Amino acid sequence: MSSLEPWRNIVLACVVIAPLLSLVPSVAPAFVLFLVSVLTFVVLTQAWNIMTGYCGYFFLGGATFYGIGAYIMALSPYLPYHLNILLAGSISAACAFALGIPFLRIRGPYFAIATFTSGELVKNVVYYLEHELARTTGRYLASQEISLVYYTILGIAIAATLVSYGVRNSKFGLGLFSIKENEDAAESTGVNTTLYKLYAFSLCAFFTGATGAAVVARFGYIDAWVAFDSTYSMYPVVMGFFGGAGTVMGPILGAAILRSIFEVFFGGRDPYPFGIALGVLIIVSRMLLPLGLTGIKSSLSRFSKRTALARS
Amino acid sequence: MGDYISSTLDLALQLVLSGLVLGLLYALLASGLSLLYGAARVINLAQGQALMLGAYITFWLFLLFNLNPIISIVLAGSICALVGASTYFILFRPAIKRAESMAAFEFTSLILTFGLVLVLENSSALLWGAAPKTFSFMTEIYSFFGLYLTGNRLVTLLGSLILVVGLQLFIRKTRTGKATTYTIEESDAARIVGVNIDRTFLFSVMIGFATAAVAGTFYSMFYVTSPFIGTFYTLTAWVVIILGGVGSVVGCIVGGLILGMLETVGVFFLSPAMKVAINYTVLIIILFIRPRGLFTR
Repeated sequence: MSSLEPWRNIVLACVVIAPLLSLVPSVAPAFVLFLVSVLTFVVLTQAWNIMTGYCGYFFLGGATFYGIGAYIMALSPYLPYHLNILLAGSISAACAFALGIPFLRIRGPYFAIATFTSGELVKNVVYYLEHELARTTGRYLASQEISLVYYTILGIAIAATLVSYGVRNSKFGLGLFSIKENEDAAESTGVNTTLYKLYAFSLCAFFTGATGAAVVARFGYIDAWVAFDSTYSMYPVVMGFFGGAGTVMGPILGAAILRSIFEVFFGGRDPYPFGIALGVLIIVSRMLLPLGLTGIKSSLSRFSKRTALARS
Repeated sequence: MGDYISSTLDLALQLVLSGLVLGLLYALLASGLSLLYGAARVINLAQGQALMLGAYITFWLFLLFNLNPIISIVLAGSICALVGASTYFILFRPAIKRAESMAAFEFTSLILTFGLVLVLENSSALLWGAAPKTFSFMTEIYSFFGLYLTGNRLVTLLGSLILVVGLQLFIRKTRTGKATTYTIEESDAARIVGVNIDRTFLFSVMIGFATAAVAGTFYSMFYVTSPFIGTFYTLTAWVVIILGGVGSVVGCIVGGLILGMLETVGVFFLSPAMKVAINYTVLIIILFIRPRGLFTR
């Protein structure tokens, strides 16, 4: 386990950057949409990180909970926006707790495949129910002011970051890291691995579902393909590893940088060159920086050690 | 009444035959992945994208040079085997060398092949457009014993069968094949007794990509090809492996046939829209019951 991150990074992120970000709608309204998109992926990656970066279970099913959250928002139109988000997060977390009992018995690569498949399965089943049985595609929902969505998602991002920091520095977090290192050994040293994994999974689902609910209000319309888009499963993985899995700052850096590149260079334009560039970036960053951006120092020192060895 | 029974029986047999074609196609697609994951521990997310590539190669060779898709089997297989070999030398080998353990490499391989998925899908969309492509080859219907099958499906049935059985014989009889089996079963011991691990890995990666490409050739004969068909086939290949066990070609045949039958029957009685859902449900249910796959120790 790497050393704990210094407080000042987190304090910097939450106390300095967050108020600055909260000024954006009044100072530079043109950036609001862009920042909503970035912050969405900050939360998704932060949530993913708890399951994969801390607990070591390769989670590839963000779309499942994002979509559940989005549908809760669409299905309960009479609740206040924020209450709805809370409800969506809670239901996602409850689903994760229930689903986690069979899912978290699956170890190694099959967990990744099973969670990814679950998102695709739910998407197809929801589509089938809506399209073939109810004869409707998608549904409309009350759309919210973009600045309200922005403040909400900013709040969720800060909450997710603080929770992630809290978890990382707690006994619970230590338990998760021990599961990542060696699950059987963790069990035998008295960590209730089943319960810990379920908590981590539920926490991950809570933030993912809440984000789905908060963000979908921006669109005013959803269907199964939008809500359960596999992008929400895949990109957090990419962003998390790019930034540095298992750290608090890594997901923020990874999501902010990669999503900014997407928005600046390719937003609304031909997506294929971006797809190729993203694929290459994933491969290159994994080959050159296996620990991600936050691990850049140790990667460099390892590299220089190796070249020094090679020279001697 | 007699008519009714015979038509029900015919229907059942017809479904079994369709399931057989699909099942053997799946077996072929998965057998390479099974060796690839078994030996080199590559969690290949790009297996379906290799199928897509094989399908496009076949389509373009047919359109531009009027090349018989049966010849394309060899060409698509070889081209994708080369793609696999370059992937091995550029990505997998350096990553394996650097990884602390093969378990750590599994994580890395998942990310690397995900990058590969994005590159392959978007490149083909950029080059050839997102519009589905299809061609007409051997669409005439053959009938035997009251059952009907189009020519291209007959080719798929026989071709997949020959290739899968051939692969199994290759694994059992040749030196490279035996080395691969040994690596799958006892990786460390294989290294100690002098199996050339590097060559075995290379072989398994090449076979992995080649079988997917050949499955793609068969696929293109009766389905439409588009850049984003891959993910379904990647996951389907994993369903087959989870059904049949890692590293076993015979397991893939069994798993492929089970899945092919289930899918055919399910689609017939429910809806073609459920094709994807059926395969995914099978995967989830099996992993719920047996978290390490159906036939693993």
